[in-house]
Amino acid sequence: MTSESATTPQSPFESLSRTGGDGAEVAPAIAPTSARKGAARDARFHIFVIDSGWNCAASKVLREHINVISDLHIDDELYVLDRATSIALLRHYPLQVGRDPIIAVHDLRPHHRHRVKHTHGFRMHLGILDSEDQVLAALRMFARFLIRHRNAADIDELVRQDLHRQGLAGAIEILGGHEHQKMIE
Amino acid sequence: MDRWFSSATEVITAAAAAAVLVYLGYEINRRQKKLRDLFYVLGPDSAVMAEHLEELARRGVIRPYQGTVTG
Repeated sequence: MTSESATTPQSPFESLSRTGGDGAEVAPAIAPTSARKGAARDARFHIFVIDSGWNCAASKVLREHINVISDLHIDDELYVLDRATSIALLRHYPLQVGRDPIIAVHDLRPHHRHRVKHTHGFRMHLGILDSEDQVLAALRMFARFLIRHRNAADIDELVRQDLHRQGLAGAIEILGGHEHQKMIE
Repeated sequence: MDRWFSSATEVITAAAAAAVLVYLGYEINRRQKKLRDLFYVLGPDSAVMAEHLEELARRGVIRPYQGTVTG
């Protein structure tokens, strides 16, 4: 999810500028955000954080950055389940045990492709990552992805496209020998 | 003798090239699988858990995050 297309601004602040009527760049009004108060208006996503505390490295990084995630996604509803609720939930879904912390993103304005309607969105299984650096990188990808594509019509397709791009980038990286350089280092 | 060395070198080169290709295929496949595991797109098979979470939110068992976790 990190790959940036050529047309995508490299800095999140670049996307904040707009062109005014006379062609000059006009920055939109930016109000400082702090801790959320009350229910989110015009929420596009419901974001659920499930963490039984199994993966200590991922849990630690997630706890340290949950307020940043909350403030970045202040327009969406964020639910952070406590340990007891997370464990109670995971007992119903044994396949997810050990893959938590899990961040589940539910799209409230989904693009249904089939007659059978179901909840759209994606889940991020941070528990399968080994190091704090990997978890932090994944959280950054997650925050960047949701902010960039908040108004996208089909979030599922965008996740798949990004995964495909990531797969190709990984292949190029392997062919380029970066992996061997890392191993030598 | 020279011909034997020549054919042996060819066989070893071909085997090494095949091993590199197999490794590349395995590594790319492994990375793609890990990415798919990390970012799992919800489908009909994950609808029950998704609906369970939404139900917890609707019933007020879990409340929107405001600096403290709920449950």
